[in-house]
Amino acid sequence: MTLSEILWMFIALYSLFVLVYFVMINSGYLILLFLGIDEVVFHSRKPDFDICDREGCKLVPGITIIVPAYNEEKIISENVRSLLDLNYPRIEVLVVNDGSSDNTLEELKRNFKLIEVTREIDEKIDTAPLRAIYNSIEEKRLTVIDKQNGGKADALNLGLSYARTELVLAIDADTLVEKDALHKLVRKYMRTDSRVVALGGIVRVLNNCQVISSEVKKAKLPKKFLPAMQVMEYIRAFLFGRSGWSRINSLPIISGAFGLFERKALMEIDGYRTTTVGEDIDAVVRLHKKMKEKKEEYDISFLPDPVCWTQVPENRKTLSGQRARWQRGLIETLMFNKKMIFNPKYGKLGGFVLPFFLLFEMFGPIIEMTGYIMFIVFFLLGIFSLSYFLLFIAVAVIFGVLISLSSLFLAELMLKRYEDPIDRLKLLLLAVVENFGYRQLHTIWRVKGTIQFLRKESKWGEMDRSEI
Amino acid sequence: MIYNLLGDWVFDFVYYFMILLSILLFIISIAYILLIYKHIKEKKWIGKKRPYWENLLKDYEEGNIEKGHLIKKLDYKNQYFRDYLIELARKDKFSKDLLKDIYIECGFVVEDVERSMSKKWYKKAQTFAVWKHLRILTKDRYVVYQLLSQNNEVRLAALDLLSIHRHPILKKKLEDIFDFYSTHVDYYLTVKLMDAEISVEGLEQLIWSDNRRMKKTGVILLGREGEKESIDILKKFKDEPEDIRFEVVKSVGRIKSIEGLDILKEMKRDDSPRVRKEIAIALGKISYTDSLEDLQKVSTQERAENIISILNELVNDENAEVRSNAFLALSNLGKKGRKKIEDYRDEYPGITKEALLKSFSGGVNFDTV
Repeated sequence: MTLSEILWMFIALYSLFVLVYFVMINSGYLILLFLGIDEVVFHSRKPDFDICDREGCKLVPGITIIVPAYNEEKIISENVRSLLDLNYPRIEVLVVNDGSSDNTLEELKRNFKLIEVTREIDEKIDTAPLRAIYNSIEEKRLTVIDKQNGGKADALNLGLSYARTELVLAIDADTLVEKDALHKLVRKYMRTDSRVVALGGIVRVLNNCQVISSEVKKAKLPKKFLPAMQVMEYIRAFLFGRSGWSRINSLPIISGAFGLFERKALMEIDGYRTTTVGEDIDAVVRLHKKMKEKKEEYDISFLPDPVCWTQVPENRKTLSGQRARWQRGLIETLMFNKKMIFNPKYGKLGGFVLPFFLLFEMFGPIIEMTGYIMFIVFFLLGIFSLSYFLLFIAVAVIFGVLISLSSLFLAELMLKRYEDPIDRLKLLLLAVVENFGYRQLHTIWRVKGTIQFLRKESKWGEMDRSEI
Repeated sequence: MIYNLLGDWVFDFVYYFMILLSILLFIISIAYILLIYKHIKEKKWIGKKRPYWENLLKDYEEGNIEKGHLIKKLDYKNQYFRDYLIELARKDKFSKDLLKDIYIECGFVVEDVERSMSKKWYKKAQTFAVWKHLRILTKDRYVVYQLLSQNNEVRLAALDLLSIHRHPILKKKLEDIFDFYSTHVDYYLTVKLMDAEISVEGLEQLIWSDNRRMKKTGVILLGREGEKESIDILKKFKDEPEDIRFEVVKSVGRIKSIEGLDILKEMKRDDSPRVRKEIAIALGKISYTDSLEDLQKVSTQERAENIISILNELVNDENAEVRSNAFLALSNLGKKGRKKIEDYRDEYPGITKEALLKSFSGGVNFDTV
């Protein structure tokens, strides 16, 4: 075989591979779309009940809201107030100051009159050393734990060790939880006919929203392009992705910004893994693993209506860092749990969901990137087929828009959060526009994350915070 | 390249597939725009109608207009007014009786009954939810029958509805319910039965049952605030297995009556640290009041001494959690409690400092977490 024949063979095989891959990924997304629609419709049909009415409210499970805080002086007090104000009868807010170098702790001391206390615990997950525990004189449901810096997962683990309630809610310090979100999550927890170990709600973009007394009064689309684009992404990721996986009880991700867990279950897996930046996805995958190994009937679900709001990056640098970190977290999780992939012992998760993530989410950006490069190579070699190229691009774009638009349609049907019709039409436009430029940028950021993983980088990156 | 390899049919197939996708995309886009338009129109209409409805309801509530006149003036034959009434009921904006009355008068209940007979689970469950918000209960026997529905959502919705009405049938159906419902919904079941406020006699079939699950639930349900007559029954369970003893102590704490002190005194040396910790918490609950004056009213000095005597043993407990909760319970006992805490300042500086500070700021409300 001559070199030229080998080259032709390679090109032919590559083209075939790309076509098969393309059909597989889009079929996968199509299945996920149908599952997601089914789940959202199913959920919306469930009646809206209060979980308790009279004396029964004293029996509802207590929730500890764990807020890991690192350099959050601008927003921490406001956020703690909003959490204490949530509509749920039994909560404790546990802020874990993860060795902040700014005035996070001082802000809390000043605003909530903290006093140093002791608290005994039965079992503790290993973490960076604890410095002190504080209770608020003013607000009995607030506890602040000060510790040496150890990262978000480490802070969550310390909070988990000191939590005394049956349920824990892990959130980010900049997350604004809607007033009745806990009721909705606990309703699902209490009414499900199997053991519920974790529940996730929808995370929405806070930037540019009108917030009064820590409550989103008017949801508005951000004026800047990047955060506006993320609105579209969040709607799609939650309503189409997570709902779909949830339908087959194989949800592999619950956002670190907003997830309710059975404390006992998290303790059984020794809490969050501190050696990954994707501690949220890793914890959920390990919860599945544990429950499958115990052969216990369980439920890990996503609910489309308990809502929390979070600030998203407004500049390209922070966003690219965040997306690279998410990709790194995903790859780390898949590597840590590689025994589960293609393993029928772990049911749909091992047989379908994790392989899907491996093939399409982990390798997807690399394959997409090589696709762009190969088109250039084909062009230079003079074997570029314009009609094939255009057809390929057209199908990819139309498919992408179709999925985004279906998610938007679901959001409009079920959530109706954006009041301004112009905002809603802008979202329609963004669903199309994101395919030209933004999608490619996103691919580059994710490839960057893959490279960071290969280089074994462990940095978290920075997140800009502004006052809510 | 690829169609050289596979032939033109691939290209044709992808081409037609793309056309199909484009049509689908076009349809969804139009549907999305129409949906936005519908929502805008609805919002505008509702925005106009709601203040009008609210004023009419206010007038009726204040007796300015008669019911017949109100119904005539209400443009009620639409889904929006029905939804508005339900929303008002949820927000407690008008009296539930008034809203229920209008809801029935407008004929919505007749439609609801039809919906509830549907084979679709969600129609039944949604109807029961609406009735719950408006405190309506019609077709009792049908709702009771749905308590044992094959669908989890329907049976829990029926339970919810009967519980809010404190329906007497619940106490007769307890055994069936426990037979039929999975243990996974025990939490919800217990909360709803507690909301149903079943009398102590009504709980007898649970508490004297051989079924451990039923017995445990019965013990939990005996712990209703102020239900002093339950205490004598709870005493009979102090030698049961640990999980039941634990619930006994918790129930005594919820009853918050000084009459519960005897049983807590008897159990203070329980083998289980979990139970002892709960005794400290129960004592904290019994002694917690919003002001010192109330404390004087509910408990004589002698009784406060009684609480302190039990806590005195618990602050010396080998288990740190028991000790810690005992000190916090002492912080609810005013001067006498503080004096006792101060006795241990050298031995346990951290927790005594916390308990003292909390005592000065009104004590610890063990109910909130």
